[in-house]
Amino acid sequence: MADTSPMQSALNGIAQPGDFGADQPAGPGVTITERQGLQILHVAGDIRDAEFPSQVRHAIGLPLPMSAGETRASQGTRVLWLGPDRWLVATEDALPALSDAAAVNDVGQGRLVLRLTGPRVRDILAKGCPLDLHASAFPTGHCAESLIGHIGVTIDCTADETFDLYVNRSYAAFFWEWLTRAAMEYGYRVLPAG
Amino acid sequence: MLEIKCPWCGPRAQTEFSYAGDATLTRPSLDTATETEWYEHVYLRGNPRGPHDELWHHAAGCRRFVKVRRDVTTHEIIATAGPHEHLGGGGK
Ligand SMILES: [Zn+2]
Repeated sequence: MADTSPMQSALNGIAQPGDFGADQPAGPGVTITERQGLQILHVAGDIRDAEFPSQVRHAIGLPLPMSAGETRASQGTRVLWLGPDRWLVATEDALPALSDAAAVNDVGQGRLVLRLTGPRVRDILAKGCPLDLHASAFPTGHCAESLIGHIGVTIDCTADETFDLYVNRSYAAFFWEWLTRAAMEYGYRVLPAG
Repeated sequence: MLEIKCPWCGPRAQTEFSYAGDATLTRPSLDTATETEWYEHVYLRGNPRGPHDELWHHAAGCRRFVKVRRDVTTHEIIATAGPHEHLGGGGK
């Protein structure tokens, strides 16, 4: 398996903690934290093969979500539906060992993961995303792969007004610039990575 | 902008898709097709007015190919289906 030693943040020298943009008496429109230390697997397999879903379920302790945009979660682990034969597993725990029944790629070192939370997070993302991000259409527990600012992003609504974004690492600087400009008018707070 | 109903993801914006060509073509036989048949298959296309079947790739979504029956005059999307499924509705 891949080397899982701590690696340098893709936002080193780009993002710094603090409050930026418009001054909001009620607090920043969004708070941004880079999530570090996540293990991320891209899992592909054929659900018609009965062994595949059951072996994955055994390894990660969660059933694979089967309908579009569905997620499954336990403490520290999330499983996202990406397509009819593809899933994303993100976990704070050790990497689960998956058998030959699935095609598994460790993509953790190739993703920048940002957690966005705050009252204006949907307004900010909607500036560059074609999805309907209203809470009635994109509720807690819903995920999607789509575009934000013209680049592919995996979007996961983990809690009320809270989104995890998975961005390809090579787009980190561009995406950070897009995001912070979009958030400027609402005010944004950057917390140290954690 | 078009809204394309992906059979797996539901209605999505055209910007998430890439156009992937004519869905009505059948690849000639590798064993028996003549050079002329290959030339026609690779290069020659009709330019129909009205409904047409085409493939779109949901590149920024589920990454599946989708068959789309679209009226190329009005941009109306009449039906969508999986790449190997039969499209309902009129036209070709
Ligand atoms: Zn799709």
